[in-house]
Amino acid sequence: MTDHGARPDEQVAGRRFRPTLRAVVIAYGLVGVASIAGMTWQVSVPHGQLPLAGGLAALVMMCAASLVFLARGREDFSESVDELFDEVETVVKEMKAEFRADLIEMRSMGRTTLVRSLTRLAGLLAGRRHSHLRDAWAADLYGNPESGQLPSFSRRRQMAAGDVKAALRCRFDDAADLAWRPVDALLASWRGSRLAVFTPVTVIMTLVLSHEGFYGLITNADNLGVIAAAAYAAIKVLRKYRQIATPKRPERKTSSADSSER
Amino acid sequence: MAYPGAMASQQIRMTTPVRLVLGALAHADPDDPLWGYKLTELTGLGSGTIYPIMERLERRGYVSAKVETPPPAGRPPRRFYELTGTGRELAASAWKPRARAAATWSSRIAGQSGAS
Repeated sequence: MTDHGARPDEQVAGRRFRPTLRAVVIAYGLVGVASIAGMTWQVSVPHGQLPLAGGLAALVMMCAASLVFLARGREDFSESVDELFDEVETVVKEMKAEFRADLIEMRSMGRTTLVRSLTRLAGLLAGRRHSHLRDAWAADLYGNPESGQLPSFSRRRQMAAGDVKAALRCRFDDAADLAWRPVDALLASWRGSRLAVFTPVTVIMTLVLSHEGFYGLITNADNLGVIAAAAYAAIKVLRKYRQIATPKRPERKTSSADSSER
Repeated sequence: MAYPGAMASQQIRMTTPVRLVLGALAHADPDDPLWGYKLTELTGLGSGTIYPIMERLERRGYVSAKVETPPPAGRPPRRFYELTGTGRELAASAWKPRARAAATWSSRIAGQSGAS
């Protein structure tokens, strides 16, 4: 808005250059005169339409003259037009600022929604067993509350994507734990380990006996030995990998206890 | 009754990320416990690596977790992690072989430089 209390030159100094109304009107009149002259003297204009061109020119000139008259008649006319321009400019600026703010807010909302969706997805993937991690993951998005500064969007997105990865890995660990359980039981048991070594050997011995007889068993003795050694080595390696101590042979029940009962 | 392989579940594979996490937890101030975000900042590991390790350590009793109290306003409560007694032993043993190897190598290098 224009400050009416300030001097006109101060007002002008504080604003951008804008042509005065008078200059606009004069320019308008000159253009009108030039166009009329052009229309009148142009060869392409038929002589029959000259009165029409003359009438239009007169109308333009009358409009220009009336504007000049208005401008002269009311001294504050140009100021009013300037005010109008100022208002229009202010409104446009406000609209731009609002639009920009809306755009930033929308983008921020979109980003926040993306990050929250990823964290929520991670919570769903983690399952009931790891449900306690949901709050932990959501809290991580706030960064270090003591510093009072939120992590950047890229950092939060990275954290949220990492949470999804963590959820999948937790589920995979659970499944792997479940799958290893019978193997661990077998490796930790003396009888189970023996069974794991002798079962394949016994099965193959039976097959060889049924197909080739006792002679086949002798000819395939080296293969049977390799199978037994491989099974034994596999158990040893798995015990080391799973960090399971070699089980001790279970003590046999003494026969004296049985005899005392009798 | 625990299944025969229960012993195996108490063990944890000592990888470099596990060592880093144990080191960070061992050096943490008891009055200022660590949580997931802080651990990622300290170790440089992603949350996709940190949380499975924390779950494994917690399940095996090396780490205890507690939810932030009182619940803060305007954000979810954090989950603080602390080493237990066995966890401290594990953290101490985690860096021993490396420290021994480093000492051996540094003594060798010092010996070589002294000889030359």
